[in-house]
Amino acid sequence: MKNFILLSLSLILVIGSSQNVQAQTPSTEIQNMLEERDQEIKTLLGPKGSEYTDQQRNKLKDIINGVIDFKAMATYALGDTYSTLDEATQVEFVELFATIVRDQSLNKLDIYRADVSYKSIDVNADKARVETLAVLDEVRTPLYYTMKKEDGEWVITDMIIDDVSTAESYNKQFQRIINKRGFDALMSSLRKRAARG
Amino acid sequence: MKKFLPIFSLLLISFSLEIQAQDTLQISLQQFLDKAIANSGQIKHANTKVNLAENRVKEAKDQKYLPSLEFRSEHAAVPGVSSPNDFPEKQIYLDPDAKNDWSKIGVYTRLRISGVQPVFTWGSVNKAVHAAELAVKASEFEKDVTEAELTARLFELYYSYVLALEIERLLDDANSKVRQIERSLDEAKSESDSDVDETDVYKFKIFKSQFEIQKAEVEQNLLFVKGVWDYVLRGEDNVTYEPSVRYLEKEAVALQTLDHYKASAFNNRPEIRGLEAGIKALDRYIDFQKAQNLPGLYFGFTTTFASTPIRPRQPNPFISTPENTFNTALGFSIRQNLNLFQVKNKIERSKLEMKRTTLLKTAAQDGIMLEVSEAYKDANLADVKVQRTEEALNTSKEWVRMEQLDYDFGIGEVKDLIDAMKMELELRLKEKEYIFELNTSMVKLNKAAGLPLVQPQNN
Repeated sequence: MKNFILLSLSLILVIGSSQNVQAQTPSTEIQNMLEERDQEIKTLLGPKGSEYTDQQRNKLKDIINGVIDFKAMATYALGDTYSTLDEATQVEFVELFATIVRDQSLNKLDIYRADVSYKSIDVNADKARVETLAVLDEVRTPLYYTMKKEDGEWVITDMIIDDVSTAESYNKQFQRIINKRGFDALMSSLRKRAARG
Repeated sequence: MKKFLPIFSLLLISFSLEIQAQDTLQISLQQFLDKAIANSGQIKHANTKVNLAENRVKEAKDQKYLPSLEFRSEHAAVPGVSSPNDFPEKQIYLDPDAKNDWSKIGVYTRLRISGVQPVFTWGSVNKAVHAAELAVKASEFEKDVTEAELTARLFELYYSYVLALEIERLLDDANSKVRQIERSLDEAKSESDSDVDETDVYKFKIFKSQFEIQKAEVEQNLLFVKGVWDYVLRGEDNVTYEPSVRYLEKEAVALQTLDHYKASAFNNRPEIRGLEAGIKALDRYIDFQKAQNLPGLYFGFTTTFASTPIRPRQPNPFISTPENTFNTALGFSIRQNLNLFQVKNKIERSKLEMKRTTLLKTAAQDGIMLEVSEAYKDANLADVKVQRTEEALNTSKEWVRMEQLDYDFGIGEVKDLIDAMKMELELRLKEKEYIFELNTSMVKLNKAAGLPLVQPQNN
């Protein structure tokens, strides 16, 4: 049911802030960051079947979602409508969007145990596209990240999971709701969903 | 299930039953082929035919040196001889009343050795050897045909296991999604302001039952394939095997033109090459028969030695007794077969055999061209099926995502999500089945074209 979002977030686990960047090429910098983050999450997860405290869950949530540029993703998802909103609504929209994504990231922790291999990392100025393959229980899922460098750090702006773009899916989804029911109905759905946790 | 039955039936005739399997060992396609082919009764049978043909070459070569060499010994109990007129022992032959003396019994021994060596036979021996060597080639090509057919079936069997594993994983994944839907439905139904439509619940229940049937089918298929594997590989030392290839992927081989495969088949098919070798062998055999019917020059010898100690050796060179003798003879001889009608008939029969084989080659070429065209059509169609299914699958993935988001935001319908998930699952299964179909079609096409069947494994 919520696999899409869960899977989306499973990918985020491999993303983190860049550390120890010393004379590295951008692609090495990205890969090192992703691998370090991946390792950090796996260490926190511990063995299969572990129980987690609220504190541990919050820490996992932070690490997993720490490198997503929610504003960029939310802006893209809302499309042209975003620019028509007042600032307060824009902020609320981004917050709701981030809350939903962050909450769902912990619904199925096993997916963060997937083995991730890097197929290619193409960097063009301050943008990058990373191709990876996640393997869990012999199920392979191709994952692509589009990233950008912001304030000296690489962040994710979109994830293409199993050939489907996350930002694009949200975009289509939100446009449909807006066209059918209007923006207020969308915000209402988002608030309801965010409150559910 | 239907897909696996013919493979199993075909393999049944090749292997004998012996199943012992406990520990699991992963093997590559090549290891699987090597092991299964080594166990194959068909290949052993084909090897025996090659061995027999090779034996005939040796037999033909043996005709070069002393093709006829014989040794014989004879032994008997014989009486002595006495002279009533008291002739001395060395002159007993002069006594007209000489007779056997049964009071004395001795051992009679005779040894004979004789041989014939062809000197000039119009090259008939070399022609026979050449014909036999060509017959070996023909039998080797016959073995290649058997091996290619078996390899194609084994390839299908190997990847049947991989396909079954892939489908098992797909269903496992789908199973967890089904459980999630069920939980969501239960949660929604338990809410006080539940707006869950009972129709959706019924539809979901039906879907779940159908899904369980699919799961059972896959489990049975997997068991079946495992059984055939054990059967084919004859699990030894408590070992059972499974494929080291874990993912069924489209082979990275582009389909060539039909003409390319036809030309290849014309040049490489072992059936045609075997028939060509057979025609050449028959041609040489006719030459051999013709040479055999010409007068041949031979050198022969024979030596005889006989000894009976109780009977006197006569010193007279003009008197020879069979009991005590030693003589040797050698010389040349010319041999000519005069049964001309039989000779003519034999040659005629060989010519007819050659004509029959030539016609067989033409018929085989016609059949092979049809086989190539059909295999090409199948491979082409399978390629299109894979491509189009991949496109449809991508669309279905987007559809599922959309329905998931709709449902997640509380504006979606369960039935829409179920429909989307059903479609995605069906397309995922179809995609794997079509990839299997494409890969096996390519192997069949390569076999039809006489090309190497197995490409390097890609995972």
